[in-house]
Amino acid sequence: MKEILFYLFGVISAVLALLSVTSKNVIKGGVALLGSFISLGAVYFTVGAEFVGIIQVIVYGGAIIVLYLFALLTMDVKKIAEEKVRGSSAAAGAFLSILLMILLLLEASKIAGKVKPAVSGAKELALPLFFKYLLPFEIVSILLLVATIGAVAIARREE
Amino acid sequence: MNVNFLAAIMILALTGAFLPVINRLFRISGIMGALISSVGYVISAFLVLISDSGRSLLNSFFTTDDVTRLIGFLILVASWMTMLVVYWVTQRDKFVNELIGSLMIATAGALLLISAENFVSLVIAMELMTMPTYLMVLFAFDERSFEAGVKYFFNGALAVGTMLFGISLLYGMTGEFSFAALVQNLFKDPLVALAGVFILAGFGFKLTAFPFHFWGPDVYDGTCPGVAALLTGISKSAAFIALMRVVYEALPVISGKFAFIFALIAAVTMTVGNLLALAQKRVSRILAYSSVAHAGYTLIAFAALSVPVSITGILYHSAAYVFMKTAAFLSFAVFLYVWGARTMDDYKGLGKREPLLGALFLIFLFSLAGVPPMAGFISKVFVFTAAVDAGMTWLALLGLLNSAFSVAYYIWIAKQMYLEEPVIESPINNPFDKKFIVIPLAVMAVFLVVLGIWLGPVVDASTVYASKVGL
Amino acid sequence: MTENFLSLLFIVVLMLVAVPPITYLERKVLGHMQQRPGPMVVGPHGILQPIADAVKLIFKEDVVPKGADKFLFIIAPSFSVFAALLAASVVPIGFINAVPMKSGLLFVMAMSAISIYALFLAGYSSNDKYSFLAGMRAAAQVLGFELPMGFALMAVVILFGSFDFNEIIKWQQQHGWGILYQPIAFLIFLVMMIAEINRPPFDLPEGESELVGGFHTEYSGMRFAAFFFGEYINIIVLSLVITALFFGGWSGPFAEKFPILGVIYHLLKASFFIFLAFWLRATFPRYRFDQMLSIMWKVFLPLSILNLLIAAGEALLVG
Repeated sequence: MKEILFYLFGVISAVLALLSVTSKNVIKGGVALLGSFISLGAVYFTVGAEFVGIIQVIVYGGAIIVLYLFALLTMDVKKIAEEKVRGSSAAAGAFLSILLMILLLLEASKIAGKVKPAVSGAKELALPLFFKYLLPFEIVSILLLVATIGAVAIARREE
Repeated sequence: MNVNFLAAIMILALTGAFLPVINRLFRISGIMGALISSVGYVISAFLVLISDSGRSLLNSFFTTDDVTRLIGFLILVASWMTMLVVYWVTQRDKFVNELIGSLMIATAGALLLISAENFVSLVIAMELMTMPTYLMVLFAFDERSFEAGVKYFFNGALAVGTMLFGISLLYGMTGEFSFAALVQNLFKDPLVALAGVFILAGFGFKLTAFPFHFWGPDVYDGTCPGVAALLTGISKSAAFIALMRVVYEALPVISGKFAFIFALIAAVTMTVGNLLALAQKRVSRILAYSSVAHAGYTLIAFAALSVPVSITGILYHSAAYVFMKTAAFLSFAVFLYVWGARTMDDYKGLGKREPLLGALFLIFLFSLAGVPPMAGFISKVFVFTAAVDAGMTWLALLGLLNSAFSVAYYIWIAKQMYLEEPVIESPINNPFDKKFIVIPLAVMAVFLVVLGIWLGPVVDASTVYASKVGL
Repeated sequence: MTENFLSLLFIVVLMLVAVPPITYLERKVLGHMQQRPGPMVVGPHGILQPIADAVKLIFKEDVVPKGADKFLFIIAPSFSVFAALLAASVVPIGFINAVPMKSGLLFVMAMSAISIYALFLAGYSSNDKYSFLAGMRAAAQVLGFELPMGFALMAVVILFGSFDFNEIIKWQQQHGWGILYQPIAFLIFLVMMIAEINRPPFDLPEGESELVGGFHTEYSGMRFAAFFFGEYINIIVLSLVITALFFGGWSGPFAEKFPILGVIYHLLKASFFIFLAFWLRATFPRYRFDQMLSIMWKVFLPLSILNLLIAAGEALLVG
C-alpha cells in the first residue's frame, strides 16, 4: 500500500514538474509547481518522514510559491510567455536530458521496489543538525544574514 | 578545524556583518568603517598565523593544515588591501559600509573554502564566498553593472545548481559526503561518475575553465573593478585550493585516467584566454581574459597530478595569483577612478602622469606575464616543471608558447603607458589623499617580489601536503 | 482503524453541519451588537434563514466570467474547503482524534498556508481587476502573518516540547494552561489567526467598500458557498487549535472519567473564540494595506522573536 502511494505521488510530482516548465501560462506553471511540491511532501509522508513532508509543504507550498506568484503577477506575464527557443539548443538539451534520464533509470531500476519506511520526526532531524552538522548549519545562518544585507542594500539603493 | 582559525573566520564574518548595522546606528564616517574592518583583518590574520596551536574541533568538516594557514594568510592580506582600495574608490557612496562588509564576509567564505574537507562544507563555504559578491557586482547600480550582476547571478546559480545536483547524486548512491566516497566509487558506478562530472562542471564555472569561461570577462568588465579584483583573484584562488583537495584525495584512482582530460581543458583554456585577450580594446577585458588564461596555467599543474611538484605548482600559482591579479585589477580601479581610463587609448601616457602608480601596475603586469624576480615567474616554473616531470612535455611547451604569447598584450599596455603622449588632459577625480592609495598596492608588490625570491613557505607547505596525500 | 475512520467521518460531518448555524449566529450577534434584530423573517427569529440561504445558493446560476482562466477558476474554491477539512482532521476534539499525528500542529500550519491559494487563484483567474487586487492583497497578507504566527507557535512548542496536540494538552494538565506561561504568544497567535481567516480588521482581500467583493466578486452559486464553507471551517479549526494550545483543550473537571465531557469542554472553549471573531468584526474598522503590513513586520515579528527568549527561559525553568 505504502509503495503504491510512494510511486503514485512520485509520478504525480514528476508530471506536474514537467507541466510547470512546459506550461505557456506562468501562473498555471506556478500552480503546477505547487502541486509538484505538495505531492513531493506526500512522498515524504509515505516513507515515514512526516516532519520533512510538512516542512516541504509549508516552506515551498506556503512561502516560496506565494512569493513566486506574487512577483509574477506584478510583472508583465505575457512577455515571458512569448520567449522563442532556438532549435539547436533545444535539440542539445533534449539529447543531454534523455541521456541523463536513461542513466538515472538504469541505476534506479537496480534499487527499485525497496521502499523502507522509517519514522522520522523533528527530533531525528534536529539531532544531526545541531550536533554533527552544527558548524555548516551555523555558516548557513551567516549566509542568510548576507542575503538579508544584500536585499536591504539593493532595495534602499533606489531611494 | 583549529579553534584559532575558526575564531579568525568568525571575527572576519561578524565584523563584516555588523559593519552596516554599526553604520545605521552611529552614522560612522567612511574612514571609521575602513578602520574598524582593518582591525578585524589584523586580528584574524594574527589568529590565522597562530592557528597551528590550540585545540581542534569538528574535524570531519574543515581541516586546518599548512596549506590552509599559508593561503589563508595570503588571501587575508590581499583582501585587506582590496578593502582599502575599494573603500578609497567608493568612499563617497552612502553604502560603502555594506560593500566593505560584503567583502569581508566573502573573504571569510574563501577562508572556509580552502579548509573544506567534505562536500557539505565545500558547498556551504563556496556559497558563503559567492553570496556577498552577488550584491557587490550589482553595487555600482548603473546599466553595465545591472547586466553584469544578472549574468553573474544566473551563472552562479547554475554553477551551484550543477554542483548540488552532483553532490545529491553522490549522496544518494553512496550515503556519504566525503571526497573519498566520490573517488572510491568513481569507476564502479556510472551515476557516481556522473556526479563527478557535475561537481567538476560546478568548479569549472567558478574557475572560468574552458567550456564555462564565457561569463567571466563580461562580468569582470561590467562591474566595478574593485569587485572584479575579489572575483578574479581571491575567489578563484580559493576555488583552486578546494579543487586541489577534491582531486588529490582521488589521487590513487584517477591519476593517469583523468590527467588527459585536465590537460585538454588546461590547453584549451589558456589558449582561448590568451587569444581573446589579444583582441580586446579595453584594459579590463584584457585583464579578464588573462585571468581565464591563468586558470589554464593552474590546470596544467592539475593535469600533472601524478608528481609531487604539481602540488607546489598549484599552491605557488594560487599564492602568486591572489596578489598579482587582485593588484592588477585594483590598479585599474585607481586609474579608472582618478583618470577615467578604460580603453587602451585612454592609457596613453598615463605612466608619465602617475609615475608611482604606473610603476606598480607594471610590476603586476610583468608578474602576470612571468618575468623574474616576481612570484609569477617562479609559479610558472613550478607548473611547467610538473608537466615535464609527469611526461607531458607537449603541455609544458604549449604553456611556454602561451606565456610568450601573452607577453605581447602586457607589453602593449606598458608601451601605451610609457611611450605614447598623454591624451587625457585632466583627472576626473583628484582627491587630496591620493598618495595614500599607493600604500596597499605597494604592499602587494612587496609580497609578490618576496614570494618570488623566498621559496621556503610555499614549498614547505606543499611538501607537507604531498606527504599527507601520499605522493 | 475503524475508530479513526468514524472519527474522521464525525469531524467532517460536524464541520459541514456546523457552518450554517454559525452563519446565522454571526448575523444575529452582529445585529444585536449594532442594535438591530438581524434576520427575523424566515422562521421564528429567522432561525431557518441558513436553510433559505442554502436553497438559494444551490439553485443560483453558476457563472464563469468571460476571459476567465477556467481551470483555475473552477479549482480555486476547492483549495479553501479541502485545506480546511484536512486541517480539521488532525485536531483532536476530546477523545475524537481522526489522524493522530506527531507533527499535528505543523500540519495545521501547512494547511493554512495552502488555503491562501484559494483566494489568490480566485483573484487571478476571475479576469476582474478588483479580484486581481484582492488576490495580490491575499498573497501579501500571507507573507505578513505567516512569520509571526510561526514564531509564536515556535515559542509554545519550545515550552511544550512537542508538536503533538495530545502531548501538548497532557503537558497543560500537569503544569497549567499555556496562557499562564505564554500570554504574548497567545496574543500574537490570536491576531494572526484573525488575519489568517480574513476576518475584520484584516479582511483586506474582501474589502467590500474598496474592492466590491474582493476575490469572490465573480463567484456565484455553490462555488461562492465553497469559499464560505472554507472560511468558517477555518474559524472553527483555529479556535479549536488556540484552545488546545493555550486553554488546556479538552482538559477540565471530570474530563478524565467521562471522556464525552472532554469533547464538550473543548467545543465550549472553542466557541468563545468563534464568538470573538464576530465581536471583533462588529468592533474594529479595517486596517489599511500598508498599516497591516507594517504592524505585522515591524511590531509582531520582533515581538514574537523576543518571545522565543522568554519561552526558552521558561522551558529551562519548568522542564
